[in-house]
Amino acid sequence: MSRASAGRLTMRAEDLREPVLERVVAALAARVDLPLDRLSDAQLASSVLIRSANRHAVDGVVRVELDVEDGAVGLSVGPLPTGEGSQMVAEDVPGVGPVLERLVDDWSVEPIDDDTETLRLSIGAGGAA
Amino acid sequence: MSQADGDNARFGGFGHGNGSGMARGEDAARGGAHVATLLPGMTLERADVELAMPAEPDSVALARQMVRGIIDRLGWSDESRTDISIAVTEACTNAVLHAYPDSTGDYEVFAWAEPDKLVVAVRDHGQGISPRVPSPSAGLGLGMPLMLAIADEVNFTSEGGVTEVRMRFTPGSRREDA
Repeated sequence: MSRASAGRLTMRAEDLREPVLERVVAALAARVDLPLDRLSDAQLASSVLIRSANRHAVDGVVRVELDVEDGAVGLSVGPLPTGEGSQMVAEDVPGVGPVLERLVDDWSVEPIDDDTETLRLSIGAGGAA
Repeated sequence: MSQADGDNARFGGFGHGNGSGMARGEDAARGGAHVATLLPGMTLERADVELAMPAEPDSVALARQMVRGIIDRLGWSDESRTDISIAVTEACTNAVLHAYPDSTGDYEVFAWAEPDKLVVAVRDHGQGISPRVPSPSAGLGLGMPLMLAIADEVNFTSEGGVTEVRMRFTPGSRREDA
């Protein structure tokens, strides 16, 4: 199965970003039949992602591309200032460590241009590290 | 604005007059119309949340959950959340079923939220509003009556290749006598 776009979220109101993305990601996770524990992981990852994206958004707007591929949910956040995609994944929660990296199956940073990039997370049934 | 008179496939075969919008209640019940007074300044560029999706059946759940997420944050009642979810589902289902009968395309859901009001617009770039033609996908004709019963105000437009349903809700939107 190839990657299929499921939609594009553009969120301006900061206080709405987390509840909206959590719910939308849960619906996507259900669409690809993620097990319940991974659905919960996907919601947690989206929550962490948004909190981090709020600090790194380029113009006060958070944009998330949604896709599904091989039984996994894909979230691409961007544009972000170059270098900040990796920083978001590696950010530590005190006492917990880098949460996003542990929750997702895979992540990558894809450059848009010299100044901006996109962070893509993939969450499938594979399980976190 | 152009709007088809009488029954139409896009909005469940409900006669909806000639105007650009309808408030619930007497105007709607008579099939009459008045100029909508949705909140000023609610431009697409200033929407609090926007979700663009391919017009496929799976997408409707995403739109519904987007709106439910907003209502979660607004702290409105479970009843409001359910009612508004139904209205948004109907509007999105209309776009999915009827906007692109012979092709594929996208549609968008925009939302503007304030503590005591929520406006949701569903827009597509499909065939617009047309006279109702009997077809297997025409549905039961309940979509528009449901939207009218649930929302405080519903505004339909179809011009320049864009069809939009814009609904305004408040925490107690549902009419007890609807």
